[in-house]
Amino acid sequence: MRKLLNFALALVVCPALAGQQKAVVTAGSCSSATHFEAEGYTIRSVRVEDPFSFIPWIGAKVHEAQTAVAGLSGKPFRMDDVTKPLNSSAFLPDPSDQRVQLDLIVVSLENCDDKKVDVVYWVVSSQIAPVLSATFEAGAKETTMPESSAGVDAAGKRLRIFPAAGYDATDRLFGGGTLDYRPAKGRGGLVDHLGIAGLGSTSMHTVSANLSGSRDANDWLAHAQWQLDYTNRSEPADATLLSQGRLVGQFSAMTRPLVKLGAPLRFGASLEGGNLQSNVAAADLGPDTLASSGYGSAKMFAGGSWRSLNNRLSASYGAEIGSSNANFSVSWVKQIVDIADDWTLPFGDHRSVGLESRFTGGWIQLPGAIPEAAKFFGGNREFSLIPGSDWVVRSNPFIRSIPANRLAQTDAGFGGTNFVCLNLTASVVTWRFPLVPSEVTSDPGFAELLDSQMKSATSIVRTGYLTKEEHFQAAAAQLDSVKSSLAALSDAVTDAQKSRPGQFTQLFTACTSAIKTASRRTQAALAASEGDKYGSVAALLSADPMEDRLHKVQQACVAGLNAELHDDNIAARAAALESLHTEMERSFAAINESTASAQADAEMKYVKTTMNTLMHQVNLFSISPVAIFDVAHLGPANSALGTRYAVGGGVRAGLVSHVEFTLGYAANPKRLPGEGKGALFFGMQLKDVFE
Amino acid sequence: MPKASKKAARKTTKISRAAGPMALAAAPKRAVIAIKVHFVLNTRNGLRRVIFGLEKDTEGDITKWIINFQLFERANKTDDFGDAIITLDVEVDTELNQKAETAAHDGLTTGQAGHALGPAADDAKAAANGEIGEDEASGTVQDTLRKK
Repeated sequence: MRKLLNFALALVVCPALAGQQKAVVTAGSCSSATHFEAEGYTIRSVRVEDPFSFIPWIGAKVHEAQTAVAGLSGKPFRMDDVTKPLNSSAFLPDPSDQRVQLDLIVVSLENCDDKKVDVVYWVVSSQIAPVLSATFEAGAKETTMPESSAGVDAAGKRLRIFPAAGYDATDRLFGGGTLDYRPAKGRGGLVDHLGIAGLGSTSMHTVSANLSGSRDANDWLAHAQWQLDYTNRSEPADATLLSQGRLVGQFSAMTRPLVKLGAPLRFGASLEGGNLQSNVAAADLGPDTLASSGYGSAKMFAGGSWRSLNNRLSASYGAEIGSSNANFSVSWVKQIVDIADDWTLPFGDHRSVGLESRFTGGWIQLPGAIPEAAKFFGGNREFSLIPGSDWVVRSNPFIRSIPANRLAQTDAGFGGTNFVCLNLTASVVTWRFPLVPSEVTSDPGFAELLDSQMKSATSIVRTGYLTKEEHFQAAAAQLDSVKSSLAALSDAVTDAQKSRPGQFTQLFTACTSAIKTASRRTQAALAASEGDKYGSVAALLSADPMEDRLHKVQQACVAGLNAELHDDNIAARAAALESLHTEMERSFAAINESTASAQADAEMKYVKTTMNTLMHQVNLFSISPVAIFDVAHLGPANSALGTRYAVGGGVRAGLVSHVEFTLGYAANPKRLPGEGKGALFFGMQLKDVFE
Repeated sequence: MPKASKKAARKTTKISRAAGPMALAAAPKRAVIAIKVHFVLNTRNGLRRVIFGLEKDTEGDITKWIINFQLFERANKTDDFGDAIITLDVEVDTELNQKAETAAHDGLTTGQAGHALGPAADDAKAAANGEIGEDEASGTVQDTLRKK
């Protein structure tokens, strides 16, 4: 046992230490202090790198860029020639509409031997959805599908196929996959995703089809989505078979991050109907349990998701009210609490220790009779209360030492009416190849400019929140009147000029010009959508001293022109405008900027976390030993019957966005007669085969 | 001296060559010599995009900053932005060099972002439509740096 522990320790620690010791001088190293141009260096080769070049359309862009800069090879090194030829914005998909975009090119030199250098252009262009990046599930996706988090996968390819395969003692060797079709953005009406999925083996099958759509909003509700899902599945549960056919319609939504809570809330509801079947013998059925039945149910779910730099937390509550009667009276009420936490401790370069923990509990109340398949069944497969959604609310006892659906015996027959489970997974990234070269991320200039991009993005988001502030809206409400008032003043000035041909030409020109510019700003503010008005409204007022257009109109037309003319019509029109101006100034000065700042900071916190993960933690390829511990209890049962443990380990390997698999073994230290000593868990997820 | 062109935008912020821990440590395998950065500003309705670039050029003791300003518009969000409506390359007044340096390294403030998306973009479009001169539009673009 000690030898095994020593071996495991060596497996985990040695590669990490080896990686730490790599920072030694190697031949051909370059120093940024060298004056390559003055010292007569020539360019040996030029290449373009993009961390997302494994995506075909970005790979093609990289190839184009490579062709564009190929002419530099063999030429003398000139700073201007080297630093100007690329435009990184070409590496973002179009149409791209995220407000937060990152657009950087890092130019670096390698292999500075024999007065020759290799020039490397490292490009990163990302667009991150601020609200969606806040979810627990989005955080998990960042390491496995970083191109999705970075917003660079929204290319023209509509059809994607994801094969899947695995082995489970219950299901045997199974295979299948998902076919995914996404209509062009904005061209699918309410539908922006169609999916068909299937998995099958000699003992089980699952087929499903779904339509879904989503909308982003600029209000307190940040994102809403709906889904129509049909599923037909049949799978073994110990010696019996559980089957289900159902149609589900569901809606879910997420708020913007709440400032006080520092996190977004999400909620949703669904209606479903179909049939739940089993071939459990009548003698094994618990009280108030039907072997098979048609059913209808309504589900409601709500929760929150929090993220910090190295931690993700999700808490969800769900309730299902089901009926197995033709008259739709309540037959069962199922409630679920699900709390998940992923903690990561980075160390070294793109290495980390991770601890994933998840607690789930559920209970069923039975005012009527429940179909057997609606009860709780445990094992090494998770089921979500919300089928087909990114939001996972786990709804069954999960324990990796017992094959799927085989944790089923209770004091009250087959299938449970309450459960709790706790699952812990520890992992250490040992072997890895970083997505972003460490030479880039460790450069102080890169970190500074990345930070400046984030600050700019925060400023943009803040302008949007400022326009929602009540005092800003009061100021903006005057715009129509200001437009009319400026037009009236313009007419008065035109009339005055006609009656004084050739007089006060410069004063008339200054006044007319001031009115024109103020009118242009007013028109632009009126034309801008809500959320985009801030700069144009500010330009009319003293909040923007360089512009201050309404004040400039008063200066040019009243203090300047009308001081000479003493025209009553101009004076009256100007006074009316000044009254509006004063009102707008009063409203604008009362704007509470701190609230908008807090809202923008809360929203951008998640973007910064996502960017940090992409830059400093995501690996193109990684291997991680994992250790697991589970405990689960299915009731009603005493601890001898219903409580099980899983202790084990394995290895997790991933080639980012292409394949990920986990292989391990979990021992079942407290097993019942007839149960195995443990279970092998193996899962492989192949990413889109057309990539 | 402002100048306008339809050419593709570019922006370079060269960073200090000897800066940071990489220079103090053993010679690095790869040396970063420049970072090019754009501030991409998209309106909330997704129909207008402003790219505000700052390019620093140093010749001896003379530092020159160029603002590369591009305006894109589209009729609806499903369309591509296509080519810029107008590109303005504005040589920054030397009195604003420090503000340009600050913006390049610290990012745009709320006032600057609002001005770039508002008055600067509006005047750039007015210049593209011939309603005002490019000098006036370039002045408005340069005023972005003066905002708090």
